[in-house]
Amino acid sequence: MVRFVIRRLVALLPVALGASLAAFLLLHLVPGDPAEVIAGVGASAVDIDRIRGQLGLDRPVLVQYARWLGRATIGDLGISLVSRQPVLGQVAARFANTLALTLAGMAVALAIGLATGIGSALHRGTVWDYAFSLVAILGVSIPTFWLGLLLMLWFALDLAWLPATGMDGPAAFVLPALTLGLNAAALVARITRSSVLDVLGQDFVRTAHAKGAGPTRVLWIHVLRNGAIPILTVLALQFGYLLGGAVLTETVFVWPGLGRLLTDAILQRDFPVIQGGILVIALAMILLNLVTDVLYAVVDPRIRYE
Amino acid sequence: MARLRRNLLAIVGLLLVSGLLVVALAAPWLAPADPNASNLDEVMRPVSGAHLLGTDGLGRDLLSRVVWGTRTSMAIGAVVLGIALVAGTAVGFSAGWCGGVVDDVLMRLVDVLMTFPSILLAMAIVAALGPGLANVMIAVAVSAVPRFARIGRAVLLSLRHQTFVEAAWALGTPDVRVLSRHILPNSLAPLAVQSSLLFATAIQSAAGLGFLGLGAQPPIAEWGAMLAESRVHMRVAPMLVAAPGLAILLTTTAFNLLGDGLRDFLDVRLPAS
Amino acid sequence: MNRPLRRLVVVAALSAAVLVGGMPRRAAIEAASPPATADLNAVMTVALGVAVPTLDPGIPAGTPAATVRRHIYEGLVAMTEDGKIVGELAREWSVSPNGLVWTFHLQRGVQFQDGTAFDAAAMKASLDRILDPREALPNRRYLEAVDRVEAPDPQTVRIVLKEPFGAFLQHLAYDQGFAVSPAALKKYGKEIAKNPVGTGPYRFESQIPGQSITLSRFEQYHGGRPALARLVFTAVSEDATRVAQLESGQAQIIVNVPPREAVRLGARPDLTILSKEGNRVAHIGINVTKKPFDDTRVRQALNFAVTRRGLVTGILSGYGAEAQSIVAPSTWGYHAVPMYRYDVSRAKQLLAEAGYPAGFETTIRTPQGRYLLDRETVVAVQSMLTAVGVRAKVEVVEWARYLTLLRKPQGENDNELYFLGWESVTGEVGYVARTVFASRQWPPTGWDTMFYKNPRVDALIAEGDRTTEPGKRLKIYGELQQTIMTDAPWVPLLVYAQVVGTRKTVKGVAVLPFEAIDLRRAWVERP
Repeated sequence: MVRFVIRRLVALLPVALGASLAAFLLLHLVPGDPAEVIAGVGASAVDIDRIRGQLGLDRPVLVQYARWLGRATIGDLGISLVSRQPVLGQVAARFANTLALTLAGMAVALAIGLATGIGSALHRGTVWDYAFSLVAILGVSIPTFWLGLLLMLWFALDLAWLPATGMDGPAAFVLPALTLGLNAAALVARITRSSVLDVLGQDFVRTAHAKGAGPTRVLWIHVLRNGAIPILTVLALQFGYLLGGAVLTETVFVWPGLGRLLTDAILQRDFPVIQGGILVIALAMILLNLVTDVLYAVVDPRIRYE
Repeated sequence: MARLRRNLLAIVGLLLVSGLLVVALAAPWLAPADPNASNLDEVMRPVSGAHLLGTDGLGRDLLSRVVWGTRTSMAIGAVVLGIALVAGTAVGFSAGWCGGVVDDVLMRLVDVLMTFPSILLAMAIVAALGPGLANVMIAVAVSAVPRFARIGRAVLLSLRHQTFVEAAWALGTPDVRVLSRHILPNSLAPLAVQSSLLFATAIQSAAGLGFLGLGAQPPIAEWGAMLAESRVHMRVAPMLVAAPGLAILLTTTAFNLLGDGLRDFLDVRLPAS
Repeated sequence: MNRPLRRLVVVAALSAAVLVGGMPRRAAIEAASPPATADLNAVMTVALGVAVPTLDPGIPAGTPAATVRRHIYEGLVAMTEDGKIVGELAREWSVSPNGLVWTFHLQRGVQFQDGTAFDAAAMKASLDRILDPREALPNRRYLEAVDRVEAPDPQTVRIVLKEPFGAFLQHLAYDQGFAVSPAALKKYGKEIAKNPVGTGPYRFESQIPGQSITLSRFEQYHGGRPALARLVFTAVSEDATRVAQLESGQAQIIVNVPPREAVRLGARPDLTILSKEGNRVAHIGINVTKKPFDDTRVRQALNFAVTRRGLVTGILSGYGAEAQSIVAPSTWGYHAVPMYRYDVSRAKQLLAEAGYPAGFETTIRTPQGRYLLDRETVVAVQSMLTAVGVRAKVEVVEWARYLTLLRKPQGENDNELYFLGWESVTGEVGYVARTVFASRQWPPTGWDTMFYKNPRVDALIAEGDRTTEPGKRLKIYGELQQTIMTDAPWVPLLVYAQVVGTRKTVKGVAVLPFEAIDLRRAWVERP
């Protein structure tokens, strides 16, 4: 197992490097002189040159990348141009908030998705099944930010049952998590349904029935274990989507997360923050890939020996 | 019965999509008013005979703006699809066809792009290029290419080992012919499905970027931007938020339905990538 | 002597005193205690629109910062809600006949929040710090006219100017005139920005950078025991959030209430909406060096093409006023120049005369979210211009880059039309005139982003600065505004009202003309 993990890490390393390069190169994609952009409002030519020298922007791009990467590995992601605070601290704090929201969203997605997916699989062909398909398609298609606005309007502004914005207290998680998770819930539901249906029709299930195993036992042990892989796949994909999709939810609910930090940084041309934030997210995704692969290996021993 | 239902989904999707295409093309004639005509004496009026959906914060007819928004969205979808489909499948096919080092390098690049959640990738590109409709299309297309590359490669790999391809090779058919005569036609089905689904995602992503203020610049009527503008009036004029949102929902659902329906109808089983 | 005659004599005497050049004034802020109905344990939360980056009075940081600083610091003089100058740390003052020496007699028994005594030496130290070129504090430029500060005795501060400056008191009434504890300056140096110590009613307690600043009651405040136990300023940039916080009671006061919401909130029995016409004039600036805008007729045509009334009712829901000059009516020296009524045919006629019967194309730049409904306003203007044949593209530029873009030197500057809002921070018209319309203020060093140049205007600005007598100044500035409006380097659009929402239990809120709010006399009623 350990060998498997190591092999996966090695395979992911170039991807990580590539992602870091892409994040770094962003600054240089901008038309114009990066030093001028960083020097900011009202800088004189002297200021700009000084900044260019200070930040080493006069060196070749690859050298700059190497230096940035080197500093990043020891945790120095630079200073924000806007807040003048270290990027790492800001990004880490905000990332934690986004992570919390994403996990909450995942929980919603799992709870609603699994329940409805299994439910409709067990009642296939009935009216409920049709309704399910319709709702699932709508759930996948609804724009997250619009859903967020509507939920905010009804439950937070008009009824005042829940807070509209911010992250104070567990009640504040409800609307954003619902918003974030509903899209994913629809997807999870569909995969769950087809997964369960697939497995239900297979021989070993009938064998289990024949052996006298109760329907609940059949369901939980056999169906889920074997249907886990596609569900896991979707969850992993969705986690990535949720992490990114959190940007819109965070904007609607003014959640103090990384998505909003990045949006503001992009609007304010705060490049150290943009680079640092994107790097952190890319690394998180790569870590996620690794964890998913490991989970697969745990669930399906055959994979370990690939 | 099940088969009928699957076909039904596809048909409904097809009908909706066609309807949207018609609205998009016929916008100048269908819209009751000039979407950019601002009348500051008629700000945020409710539904009425003169304005079937009321007016927005600048006194413009909401229905007209929603109708023209259809045009904008369909254009976005088409352009994004065009770029992503062509570029993505080209990359994917090359990777699958050549194999070896080329495959490795290309797929690593794809992996790198896929580590970024697509909306963040699109945002970063817009950050670099500046806001605007054209840049949004580029950004969304670029963030969609990796997925198409993966799919293209998977499709190619699955077809490559089919007997009819092997037979063609055995007969000495040149590669180009194999590609155009055998592989392409058989890849149309999965690609069609993915194209429809991509259209839906493209419209959503573009609307998301528009909502963040990174999209089409005023006064272009784009649903996401309209939501951003009307958000501040949400409590006083909820129609301003309801209408564009419903439009996005309807359009996305239409293309998703079409994609799903096609998938069922063509009985496409996408190989694991 | 009978009553009317006595009154006449008093008025005559006072007028004479004014003409001589300075009248001793009494401090209007007298010691006062909060009313018996006040809840003395109240914590007031105020949601401002943006965060306060620094509390150093030498560094300008926008009106939210000005609001917070107003409660921590005090200066020799201050400006009231109505734009009048009253004494704060100075109980009376006078100016020499030649207009160069201002003498201030200080209040007694004033302490800084760290316990040290306030005296002339402390005031001198605070002002010297601002004036010291080595400190490189941006707010130094407001005190450019000052040659030196003297403290001949602990109760007297003498400020000597290089030349007479009519707006001196107004300039002194702002952040750069605040008294900062010398002990704190010695202790913190540059970090005074995060550890402010003044003489105001509320002392700095703590802050979460970018989110909130907490002040607490300064028991030994010389103006009487402040009514609130704590004053918390939070930064909430989302309009909808601020409104929601007011409705739920999470915030007791919110600023920048969106006009539509103000209408709705005002109807609620548990909320109060305060509105005060501000100082800021939103306008379209015109780069007069770019064709076709070098032709006065084209610029005037733009002025005729917009309906200011429509903007006020449609966009601001009535919370604002039409702009009829380069400054707002609440600014001292305002002179209305109503020469541009909404007249589409006149606009087209002028364009035709200038050689553009079919109109032309241009670009309007605008920030988003910096000013109330800025983008919406510009889109509305775009629509109005289209109606006369001027087909404008709207380009939204993020605020961080906006000012740099506007201030590019003439050779590199490709701005044609842009949206901006100028306010007179000192409450008098001279500030805007000399900062924006003087030809020596061309970018990149100055703020004349229209590249406007009129020797007559330059002369009038200089004369206005030199003259100390208010009546004369008014005439000079009247001619100035007439001239500028006729030249039309701007299309003045709106004067914003600062709309503040409070819970009904909050009393004593003063809204200052430059968008800051003054809570020093505010209290919360006991429920």
